[in-house]
Amino acid sequence: MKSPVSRCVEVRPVARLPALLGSAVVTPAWAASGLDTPASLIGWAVAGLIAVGALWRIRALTHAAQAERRQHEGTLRAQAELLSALPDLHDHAQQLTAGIASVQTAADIHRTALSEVHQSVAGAAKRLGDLAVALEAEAPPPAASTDSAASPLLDLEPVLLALDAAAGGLGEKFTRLHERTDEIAQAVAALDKVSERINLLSLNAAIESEKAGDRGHGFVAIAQEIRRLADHTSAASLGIARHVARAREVVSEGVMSVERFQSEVHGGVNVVRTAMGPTPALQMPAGTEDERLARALRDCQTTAQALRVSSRALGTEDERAAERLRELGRLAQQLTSVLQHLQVGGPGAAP
Amino acid sequence: MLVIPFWIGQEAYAVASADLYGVLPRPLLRSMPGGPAGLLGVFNYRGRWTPVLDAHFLLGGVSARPALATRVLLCHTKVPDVALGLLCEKVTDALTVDPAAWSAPGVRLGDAPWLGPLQTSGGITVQRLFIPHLLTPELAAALDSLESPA
Repeated sequence: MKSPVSRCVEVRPVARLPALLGSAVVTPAWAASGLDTPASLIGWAVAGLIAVGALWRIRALTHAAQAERRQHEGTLRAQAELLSALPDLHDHAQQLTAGIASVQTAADIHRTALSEVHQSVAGAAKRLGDLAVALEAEAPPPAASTDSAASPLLDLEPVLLALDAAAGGLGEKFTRLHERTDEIAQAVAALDKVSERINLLSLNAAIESEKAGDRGHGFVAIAQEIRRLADHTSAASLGIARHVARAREVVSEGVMSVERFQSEVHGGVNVVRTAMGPTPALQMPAGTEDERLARALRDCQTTAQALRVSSRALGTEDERAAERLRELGRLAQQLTSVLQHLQVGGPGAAP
Repeated sequence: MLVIPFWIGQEAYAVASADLYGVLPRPLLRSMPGGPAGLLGVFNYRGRWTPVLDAHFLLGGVSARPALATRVLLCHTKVPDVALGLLCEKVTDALTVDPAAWSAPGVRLGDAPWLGPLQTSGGITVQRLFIPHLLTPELAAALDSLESPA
């Protein structure tokens, strides 16, 4: 746009008025020109319009300058917010790493407890199997008297008592396993909150980066990467949470199976004691004890089988959770590496 | 151009990051009994009572479900330095979109002037939301009264 002075120069041949706004210049020029008054007035009007235009232009320029200053201030504010978000991001990344470590520790303890449960279940199942084989081998023929059956029954009682004790131990182990599973669930929930917080921080960082203009564009990409890692962490912890929930169900089933197992072993012991009692023949017909004992043992074996299934299912869930944990570990490393890069380069230096 | 998408059911909407102050976790809201439908309440944001609207209610007729990813988009309004919160579900990502790729849906929506143009980015079709148009006259009147000092 042309300046007010240049406009006045263009006007001059028409109005024959000096293109200057000050009356000190206009008055002598008007006197010297010998123009009549109406023409001079038109000239003045044109000059006034030019002056208004110039003022309008100055106003627009001032507004533009103010807008630019505001944008610059916004950029500075956005950069300051970004820089202030960085320690928070680092803090949360550290919390995330610590959270993953705590999940890993809880998972290790869980694995140890699970291994004990495996051994106990396998031991109990083996004893039951041996007992069943022994009972079958030493069982008297159906016509034999109850006196002759006393010998295998005498051997049975200590074995069943040992099984009863083992079942009690197994119950404790399952309870411990339940507690460890709860610990993992808590650690995973904490992890999820931290990754959500990181996601939120990176979202706001991206918004601020966009406001920061060219200097913030690099950070948009970094914030996206941080968000991706946080999302993957969230997804992995969700996966672990699912496995943990499944493991909890299996542990609960295991606890119930152990209780059933214990009750069945108790039943077996009672059958043996009844059979060995002073007047078994008066209480029930011959052969009833054997049938009851065999039934009790069958029940015990079925429950032990269910326990083995639970134990195996727990092992599978544990392996899957471990896999997710390894993934989490990798994500934590990547996140730390991205944040370290950011700390060294700063948001402006980011690619 | 950076946009912050959110989801209502299977459909994504987006608010331009330039229209936002930021994203907040769902704050503790002070309810406003007798307020217009869609107004969840107000919360104190940096010393100013800021209204929060339920985007799900306004766009889908159902309330947003509480979840970690249900967050408040703190939007600019026509009044400088006065923000308006919009509670949205699944606010977890920011999308970089081509500002020239927005195109009109081809349907005249006289009753829904807040629904802006559409674009597909990264396999997701997002519709831009114009926040000032989201305010019905009733809501706008209620918010005006909230904006005036007590």
